[in-house]
Amino acid sequence: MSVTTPEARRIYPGIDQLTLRTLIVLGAAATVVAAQAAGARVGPWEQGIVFGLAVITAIRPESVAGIALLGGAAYLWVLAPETLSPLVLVAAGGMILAHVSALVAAQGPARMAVDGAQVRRWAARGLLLWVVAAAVWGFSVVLADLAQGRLAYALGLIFLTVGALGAIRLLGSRTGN
Amino acid sequence: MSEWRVTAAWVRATAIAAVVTLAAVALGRPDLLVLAAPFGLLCALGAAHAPRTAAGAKVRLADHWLHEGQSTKLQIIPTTARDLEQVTVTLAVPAFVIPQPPTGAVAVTPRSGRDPAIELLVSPRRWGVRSTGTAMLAATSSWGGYRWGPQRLPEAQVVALPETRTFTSGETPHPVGLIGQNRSRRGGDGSEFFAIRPFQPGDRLRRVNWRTTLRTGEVHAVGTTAQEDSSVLLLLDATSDVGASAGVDGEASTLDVGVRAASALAAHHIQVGDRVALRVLGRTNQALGPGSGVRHQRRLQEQLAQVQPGWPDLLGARHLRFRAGAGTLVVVLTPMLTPEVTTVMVTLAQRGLTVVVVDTLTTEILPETARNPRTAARLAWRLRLVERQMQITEVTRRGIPVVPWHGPGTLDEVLRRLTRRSRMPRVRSR
Repeated sequence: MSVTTPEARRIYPGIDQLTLRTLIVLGAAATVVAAQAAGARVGPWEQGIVFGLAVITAIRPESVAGIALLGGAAYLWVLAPETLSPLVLVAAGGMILAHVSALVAAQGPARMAVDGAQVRRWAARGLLLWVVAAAVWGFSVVLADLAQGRLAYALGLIFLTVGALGAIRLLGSRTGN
Repeated sequence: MSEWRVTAAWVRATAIAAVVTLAAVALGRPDLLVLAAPFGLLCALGAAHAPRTAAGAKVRLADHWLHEGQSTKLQIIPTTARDLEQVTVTLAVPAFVIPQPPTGAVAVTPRSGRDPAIELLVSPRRWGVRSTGTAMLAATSSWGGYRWGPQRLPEAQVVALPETRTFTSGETPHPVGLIGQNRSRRGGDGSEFFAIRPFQPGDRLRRVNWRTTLRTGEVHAVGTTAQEDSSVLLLLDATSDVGASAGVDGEASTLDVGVRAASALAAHHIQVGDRVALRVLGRTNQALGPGSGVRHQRRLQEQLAQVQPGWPDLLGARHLRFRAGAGTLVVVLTPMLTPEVTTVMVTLAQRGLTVVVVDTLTTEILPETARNPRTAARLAWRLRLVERQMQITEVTRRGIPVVPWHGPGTLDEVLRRLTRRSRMPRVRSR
């Protein structure tokens, strides 16, 4: 009787997806390296856990492992004794890279070709986010030497938050129009 | 209906921003705010661009009828493009349908002022009524804050008509109509030489044969045979389908061979002006009366595309009415595995119709179990093939030619012999 021959088609992820998912691991690695360079004593177990979480996030970018990965990366930075080291910007860059790469990778199945327009858009946004981190770091460095440092710092953060909310509101209304 | 929900990325950004900010306050570490600030901003931007309109999508297929192996455009059009920053479509295709791109997944970034339609190509690889597959649509709002779907979209259906390869064959043995390209047994206004005969009123002057006229002293003209059409009945045996089918560019089952052969024969005979009828002996039992022209050919191909293998309710010469007139050429496309079908064709031959059998079962088509010496099924197949051989012998003994299908020119020799036989004088016993 009739037999239908199954189509032997197996689609593997393309090089673009592999690159994108590798960036998640590289972002996590950058954070670990930055923390160690800033003086954090990171044990092999801690490193292993962070890299394991990075690999899981690379395979399943929508999983809870992503939250644990970024949380773990922040924890490794906490181990650094120096509070205002410029290396925090490298750590922030690594975390942003891992997050944004996971966000783009989660837009479709692994076998799908990555949308170039989305990559360009999120690369620009990632850069903007890193600039924000750099602005907060610069602000912290300036206020660290002031006599009323804590008060000025709190006020500055409030101003920054209000400014950011205003910018968001403006951006939102422009998009709506 | 699906609705907008926050994305995993937004949850991740919010959670990290909140936890790291709290840690910064609790530990008095301003550097942690450097890590938290980008994620806080991302969370706020995602929330600020929360979609305000409900999303939806419709599916449009460019062509609903096409031949197997051809491809058509499947468009997925989101009904709202306002809040969409990115749209992803995945297509899970059934057997015998191939998508392009081969992954069946496409991501598109809608541009302002442009229709955010997503296009994929789908190609049915085997005749039949086929679904284009299950399409799932997901859309993301600006800054990756919210996602709509994945939402399952309604499936579109395409009728894949059987492939029609170029086919040539000889003339039919009993042309009976008025127009066509088959040589008639009577003289008329055709192009084929018939005889040189005395001039008759109505003959054209250019037909006068001057050499014979001068020799005999009487005006003679060249006579030609009339050209007529004939009636062809295609009888497709769909009671069984043997062998593996791998689509238009792979292996073919007996039903594949039968359907494609019927399509090619119909196209050929309709092209030369014959009237072609179709009768399917199978579960679907399609019947299409004789007709000619491109529209009829299309109807016939549509009927062939809907053939499904299976046993009909009633199968026997007594129950079936073929409405085949005298002189009809009956072409039976069968794997010769069903004795009832053999009985039907013998009955038609006994009625005086010219019956030709196209054997659709070749040794390559036999299933793997029939060739594997380790299985008991091989023995069963051997018995079945012996029965089949007996049927072929019986049919041939009754003057019904059996020819295997091998594309163009399959019926040439057979029809030539049948035409010659039909012109020979017959002795009738009373």
